[in-house]
Amino acid sequence: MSIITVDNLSKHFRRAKVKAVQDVSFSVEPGEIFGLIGPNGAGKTTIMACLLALIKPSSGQIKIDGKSPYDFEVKPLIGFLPERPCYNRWMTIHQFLTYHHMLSGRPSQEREKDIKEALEAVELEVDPKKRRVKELSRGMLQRVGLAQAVIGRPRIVFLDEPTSGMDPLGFIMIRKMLLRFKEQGITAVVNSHHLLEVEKVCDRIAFMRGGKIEHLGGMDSFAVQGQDTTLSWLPLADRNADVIKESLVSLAQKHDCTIIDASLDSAKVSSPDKEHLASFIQELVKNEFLIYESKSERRELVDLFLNKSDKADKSDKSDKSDINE
Amino acid sequence: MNKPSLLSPTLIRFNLWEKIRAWRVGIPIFLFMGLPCYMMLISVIDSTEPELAAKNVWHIYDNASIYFLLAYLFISDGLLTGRPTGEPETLNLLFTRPITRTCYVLSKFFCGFIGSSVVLLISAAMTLGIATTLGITENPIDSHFILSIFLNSLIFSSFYVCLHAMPSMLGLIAYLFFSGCQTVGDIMSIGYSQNAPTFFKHVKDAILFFNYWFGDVFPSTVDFSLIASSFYACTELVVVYLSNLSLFLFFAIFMLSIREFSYGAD
Repeated sequence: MSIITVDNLSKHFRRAKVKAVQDVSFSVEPGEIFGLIGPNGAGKTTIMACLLALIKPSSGQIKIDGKSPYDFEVKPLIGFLPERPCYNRWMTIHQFLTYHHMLSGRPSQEREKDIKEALEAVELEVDPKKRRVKELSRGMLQRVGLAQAVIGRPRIVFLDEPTSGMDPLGFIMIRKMLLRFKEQGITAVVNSHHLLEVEKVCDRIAFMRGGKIEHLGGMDSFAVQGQDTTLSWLPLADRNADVIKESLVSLAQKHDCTIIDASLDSAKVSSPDKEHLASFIQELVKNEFLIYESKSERRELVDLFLNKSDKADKSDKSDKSDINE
Repeated sequence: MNKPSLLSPTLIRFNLWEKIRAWRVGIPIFLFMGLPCYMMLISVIDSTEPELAAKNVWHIYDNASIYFLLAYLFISDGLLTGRPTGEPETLNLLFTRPITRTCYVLSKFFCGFIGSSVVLLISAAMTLGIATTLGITENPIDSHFILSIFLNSLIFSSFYVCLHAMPSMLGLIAYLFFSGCQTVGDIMSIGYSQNAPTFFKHVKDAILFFNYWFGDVFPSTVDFSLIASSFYACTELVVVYLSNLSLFLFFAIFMLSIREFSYGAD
């Protein structure tokens, strides 16, 4: 049974006259890391706000662990990292975590242990009893926010732009944290612009644009959208660069592939899928190309993002009113 | 398993105890407590009629602004954050926790009520001590005086919690309107003068019109000894007080319940 189910969710902001989310459906399985990606204004944060019962959907249904997100029993199950770190600035880190530990309803005898573990998990090396939230840098605030999100030992964690303001070490820490979630069976919904981080840890991804899901699936399903591969072969003594390029282009066309770049001993090929690439390589071998290396570049998600975003830019003027986050 | 409750011990602890420990709130509260003592000391020593001067000092406990400011100190985070509206954006995160919006409003109201009452009762006890030391025998502290402090703390806490529950801009406008009503007397007095410019006469008429229809909605301090002396004569006062108290709390819960907490929604 899915732990999160979203059926035909729509959200229209009447005052701003925008359709932020339109007829979106998806489900998340227990222990899954689910990514929501898409350009700005795609509706990702609105979906998250609906899942957290912070805003009311215009239509559609949401179930979290089989219950409405407004159900009081759902709240102890969830942890949330907001995109904007709007925390109680006057509190010390320790007070802030104590506050959220108490609010989450965890037993008081486990408070200090939970706070210590949460701070260790986010690798925050400051004195939590002395430093106030308002004194922290953006990256440190993000770490405190993450500690706050896990302090109540939630079963479902919603992370809105978790790497925002983070340094490279912070990226690694978040990746480790998400992998730990997987080990512990914690479900995570991650809304992010950092595609590499999403690609490495997410089990499934929903690509959003204009308030709609344009593609939903595992990383493999994104791979079939197309891939770039660099092929290298031993130098061909009897052929010059022009001849090689000509034969590469004609062979590639036969197998629905495109030569992006070519030299005497290597070429970058774009193929619609793995099967077409395999048949193209087979054809090259038949034509005496002694291939010794093939490097696939897993840039499918980035390409998808860029392609879709380009489309979004082009259509932005026509349907700008439909897009809002 | 957590169950919805009417009051949140966490919110009460952080709005009363943790807040007072911060100097930005602790010092003003200390000053609030000490101010009547200081006034008593200065006015009695300096006056030729110490009994009358002392009587005037006790009127500070009838002052609407004192109750309003104390409710603000205990309900809002404004002083702690240096922003008049406090930190309304923290509600976004708070309401993902197991806490209902009704519980939030009632907990804040409770903090305002308890905080204001305790500060003023301690202050009154200290002032009484000073007055007795100075030889003033006629002091108004009795059960009616204490009940008046409770009643006023209740109504002003409910009023402030109502402003607090509104979206920032609406709350600010309502606050400015309330402040304006408190200081409107001077403009009114100009309007009453026969030689006053027409503008001030119109302002006076507008204020009178507003006061006729909506004046009772803004809280003013109540004196319990009046109610106790003639309950039936004060029926209107009691009804207005009770209806305002419930109206402010209901409106606060309603406003917060319909509010959406997202970037495009407030």
